[in-house]
Amino acid sequence: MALPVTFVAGDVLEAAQLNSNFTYVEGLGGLTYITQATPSAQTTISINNCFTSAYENYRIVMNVSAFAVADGSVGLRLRVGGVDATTNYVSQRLLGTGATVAAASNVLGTDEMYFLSTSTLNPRTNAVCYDISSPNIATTTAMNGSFGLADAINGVILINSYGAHTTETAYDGFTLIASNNMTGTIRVYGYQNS
Amino acid sequence: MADVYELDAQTGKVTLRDYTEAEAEQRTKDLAKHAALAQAEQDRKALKAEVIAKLGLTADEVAALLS
Repeated sequence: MALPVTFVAGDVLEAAQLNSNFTYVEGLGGLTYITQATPSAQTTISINNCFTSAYENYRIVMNVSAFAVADGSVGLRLRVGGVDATTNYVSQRLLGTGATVAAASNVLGTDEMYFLSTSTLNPRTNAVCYDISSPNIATTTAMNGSFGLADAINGVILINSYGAHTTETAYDGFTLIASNNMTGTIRVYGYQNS
Repeated sequence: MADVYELDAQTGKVTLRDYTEAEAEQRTKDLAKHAALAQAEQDRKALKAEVIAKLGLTADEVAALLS
């Protein structure tokens, strides 16, 4: 069957043709929406069963509505079976603001990976986007992405952050751990393996 | 207010619950860590301002030096 199967008015659509077209579209690649969390004034947000064998790589995008405090931070921990892993993380952060650049490793220690910093001003200027490599495979999991914000206190800040979890375990979810309450939408997408 | 917002991506079910005993212990450690980090950041900013003052440089001159 040549794919995609196309039709003209009056043709009969068979189930096999429809399913073949679904398979064809999946094979085109790209991102597939998995789920979204919409916490309101929460410090601990867990998303379970979002990492599966269906995808090797994932993207996490967060739209921030509000943070309770300025100068707080949010970390990420991988989890499986509803339990967070709290050891064996490493991370590296590169922060640029104005003409100043600062680099630091393990800014939140080694029990979580740095995810973002909080500001109470202009939360909608926050742009948060991370890729997670092979969380559901029993090997090292890595995270790489960026975060930025613009407000009257901090100016314009761009942060690039990398983290890895060196325990070779397959995880099915993650937890965001904030120092103080945060509100927003966290969406998870899977990269098609094709 | 519940401690944890927990979403199951397979079912879409959201559970708002309190910490388990182990999670509460971890949260205590996390809060202590965040407080220490915030203090360290404040100390770093204060030291930076002190050094800049000692050098007698303007903010523009410091930016030029670091660029």
